Amino acid sequence: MLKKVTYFLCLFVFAFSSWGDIKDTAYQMAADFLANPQMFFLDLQYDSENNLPLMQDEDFELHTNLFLHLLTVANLNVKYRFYQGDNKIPSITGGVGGWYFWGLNILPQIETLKEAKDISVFGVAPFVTAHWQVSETTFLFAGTKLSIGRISMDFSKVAQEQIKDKGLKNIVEKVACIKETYVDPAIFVGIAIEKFSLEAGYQFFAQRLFARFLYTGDTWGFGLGFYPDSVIILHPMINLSYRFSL
Amino acid sequence: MKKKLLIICLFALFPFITYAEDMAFFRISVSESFLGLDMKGDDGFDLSASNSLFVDVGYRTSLSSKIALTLFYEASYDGPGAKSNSKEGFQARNIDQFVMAKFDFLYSDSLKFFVRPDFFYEFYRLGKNEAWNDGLYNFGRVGLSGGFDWLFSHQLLNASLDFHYFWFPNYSDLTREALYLTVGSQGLPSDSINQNFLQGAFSLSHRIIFSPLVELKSQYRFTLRYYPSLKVDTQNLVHTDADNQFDTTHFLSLQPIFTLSKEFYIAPTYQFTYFKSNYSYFSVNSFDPFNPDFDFFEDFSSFHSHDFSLPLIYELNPKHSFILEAGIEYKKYLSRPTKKENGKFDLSTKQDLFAFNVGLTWDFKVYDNFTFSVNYLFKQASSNNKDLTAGYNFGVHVISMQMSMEY
Repeated sequence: MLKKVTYFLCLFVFAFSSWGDIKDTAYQMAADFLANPQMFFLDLQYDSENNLPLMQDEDFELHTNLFLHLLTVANLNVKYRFYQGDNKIPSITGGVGGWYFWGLNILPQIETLKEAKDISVFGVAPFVTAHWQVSETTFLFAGTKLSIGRISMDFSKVAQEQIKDKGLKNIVEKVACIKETYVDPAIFVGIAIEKFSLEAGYQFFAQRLFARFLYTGDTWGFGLGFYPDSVIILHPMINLSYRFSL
Repeated sequence: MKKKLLIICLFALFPFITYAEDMAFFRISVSESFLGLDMKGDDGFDLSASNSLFVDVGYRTSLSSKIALTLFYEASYDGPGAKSNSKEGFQARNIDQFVMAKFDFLYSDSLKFFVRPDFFYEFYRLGKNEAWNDGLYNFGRVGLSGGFDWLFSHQLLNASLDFHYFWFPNYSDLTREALYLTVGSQGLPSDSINQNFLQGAFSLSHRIIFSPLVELKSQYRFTLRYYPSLKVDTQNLVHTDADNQFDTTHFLSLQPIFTLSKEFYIAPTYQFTYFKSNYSYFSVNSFDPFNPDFDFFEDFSSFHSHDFSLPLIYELNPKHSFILEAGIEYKKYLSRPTKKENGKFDLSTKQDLFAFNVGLTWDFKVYDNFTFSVNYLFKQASSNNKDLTAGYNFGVHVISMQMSMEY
């Protein structure tokens, strides 16, 4: 238990070191998000998805990142082990993860943003993962996924009529109306040792590397995402999983 | 680059491994470093962070009883970490891709030849609006190495020849072009700023085991770089009078390893580098064509350097080990003048640099193939360059944490 507490403390020291700057640079980050919505979409995608193979006995898994729920991003992953491999052929797990940023729908409730329209940010990511058991405690895995996302928001009326603040107006006017769909394939590889796993991948169109360190318990999981090209580079994760067989 | 060499060495360390067995290697490593930089002349610490990620995949297979093939791929990232020191929210970052195939020919039980084609490409982003493909400093390297490993009476001798071509697809030098247009009598053909170069290298390394407690590793490497297009600047700024740039490097390394006990050993290391280049430097103070103001220096980048480090390695038990390391570095430019406090060159003195560092690393093997490391490093650098804006005089504290899983 003490070991686990030590690991989690290390994770949160990592993670919260990033929060200190957020307040000071909030405007800058907001501008970065708005200027590059695809990066924002991919960050949420990485946080919500779980493309680890099913290495346990059960065939199905439901998974969600509770930390994202706190940030008003509903998310759920479903995965199924299609094939149980043997010494020569790897096991195959497939699944799909989806998320919806419902909290953005509250924005029009704010007086100055009441003219905001068509706010909708969501994504899905189907994936396939193959894994090999290379020793009693170690698994190697590799897979591919397709990140699909939609970002829609129209602040043009807000920018024209409502916003008096010059700084905010400049930011919002620049990207007053976004209606974009993103499709970006990726590959990933990883290694799992006991309940710990480290995974790294490459997003082809965005040309981004990403990595995740995860502890996966029977029900609870904790992790840290490393998204090197992002506005916030370290992302903490608190995961909840339910596994079962039919 | 150090880590890349380590992995390549991992395969090279077993040059005479049985050719019957296939071997796979896989490693993922992430690290986060926090830096506190105390620049002389600045108030307080400048805090920043950096982040790196490595993915290595290797596979070795036997093509016959005498021939083995090793394939290796690495993707890596280096860039800003959790806390950026840039208020603009951007720091330089790079993604590297490296791939190689190594063919080993086992001539006898003690002699092996090898040929190794390899390819490397670095995407380097310097600014927020710079796309990865358009990075000014992006570069690629492609080439071939060949050599032999010879094992004889407790000694291993390795010799190799490398030939590589480096290219910089997006590089341009507007300042230099402007200099030739405004101050010089003729413009500069675009090909004359092409930084692409050819590199040839000869390397000889030797390892001798004197006793179970003492061994010595040594290496010599000579590198020649020739730039087929790039002209060095001349004082009259006439590129047709200029030579092509070429650089040479002699590198020597000596590392005795003393095993003092089962848990404790030391590996003092000395490295000497002698770099010579015909590169010359224009320091432009004014582009005014009627009253140009610039300083011109030949042989600006040639130097010799001496590095000495003393790592003390203590393996407390199979799970925990500690490395205490101290080192000194000295670098002296052969012709580059130093600068005064006001930023003007001081022609009476050649620039030198001195640095001292001390560090402590704790390696914790959570499992045999899962390592967590924490490292603290302090470095103090000083120079006779009195221009504090040049950044040669500083102290820096670095705390790094690294997680690494491998198979």
